[in-house]
Amino acid sequence: MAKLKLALYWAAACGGCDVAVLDINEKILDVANLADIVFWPIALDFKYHHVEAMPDKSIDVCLFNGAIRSSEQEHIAKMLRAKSKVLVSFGSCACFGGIPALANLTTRAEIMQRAYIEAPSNDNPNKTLPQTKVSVPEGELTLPELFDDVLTLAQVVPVEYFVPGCPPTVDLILKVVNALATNSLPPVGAIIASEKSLCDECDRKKEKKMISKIYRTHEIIPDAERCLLEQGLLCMGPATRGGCGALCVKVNIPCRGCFGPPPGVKDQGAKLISSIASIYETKDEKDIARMVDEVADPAGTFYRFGMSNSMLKRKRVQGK
Amino acid sequence: MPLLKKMLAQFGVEDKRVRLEWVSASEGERFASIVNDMTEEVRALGPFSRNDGGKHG
Repeated sequence: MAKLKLALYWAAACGGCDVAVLDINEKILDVANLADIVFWPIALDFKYHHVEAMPDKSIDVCLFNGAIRSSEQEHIAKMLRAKSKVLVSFGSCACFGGIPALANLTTRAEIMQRAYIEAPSNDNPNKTLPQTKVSVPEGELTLPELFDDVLTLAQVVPVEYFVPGCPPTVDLILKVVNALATNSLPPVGAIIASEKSLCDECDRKKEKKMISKIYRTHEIIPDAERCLLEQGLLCMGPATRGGCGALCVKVNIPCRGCFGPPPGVKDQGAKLISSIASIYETKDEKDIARMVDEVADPAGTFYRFGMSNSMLKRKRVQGK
Repeated sequence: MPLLKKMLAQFGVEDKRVRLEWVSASEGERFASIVNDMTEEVRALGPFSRNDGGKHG
């Protein structure tokens, strides 16, 4: 079999997904035997024009990480879609918006105001904001345009597969690599993870699912054996797809939900709110008000990785 | 419900758009008046624009 042509790209992401690919350690040599990497900005010196020059569908697989929030990212997403036979939405940002999508609780104008004018470390007396075009003696300089919305990859171009995770775990990456090596990819549209919720793969003891106080992670040191949600920590397990091996809960940290909603759940945050409602032990108005106060940032907690993919997608912008 | 409302406020969804009432099957009149109230309140707020994902909100 001829070697596969593999591309990797990062859009609105932290770089962790690219590092996760390197975290497969010596197996990266198997990848090198299996595939020629034709584009990988973090590791190899290929330029956009090299990709542009490739014929359509000449890349066998593209692992695309990061959300889409600028005209440059949108352009490259469309270009890699055209050049790739199989486009994989790789990591939570590409699949659900990820951490960058928390910006959907604000707008581009507010972000610019905060970052370039209000932030205490700024020295910007003329209140200069980045422009997409500026003329200098040498000619016109351009910058990509920042969007109001952070989008998932699949909201911009069609995608064959989804590999969730912040970042995808080594096991899942190897699963993808093995599927490529043996030409045994799942049906198009598949989410390469578990078909169950995280709670199904968590081996903590679940006893009495009632809570009367919600704690933030810095407020208590939880028991290492018992269900974290039963101890009052907001664990996203019931509203999150499994497949990660329960890495966070194994080290006493509640699940943050980076694998997105489990099968059959349309909205991850709504699902967790419903779970909390069913385990909160009181009917007293005062207690309920206190509990609501104890959840400092519901939108940011329940949609930490899934804002772009949620039903509301962003904070409503008045007048639109 | 209060938690859901706190979260919806973060998303810019007005408080009056969501309401939870328990009505028995025998309380037809009450059901009708709640539905009428809610209809009027939402009508006063106007249409809710959905954010279907786009470049510019």
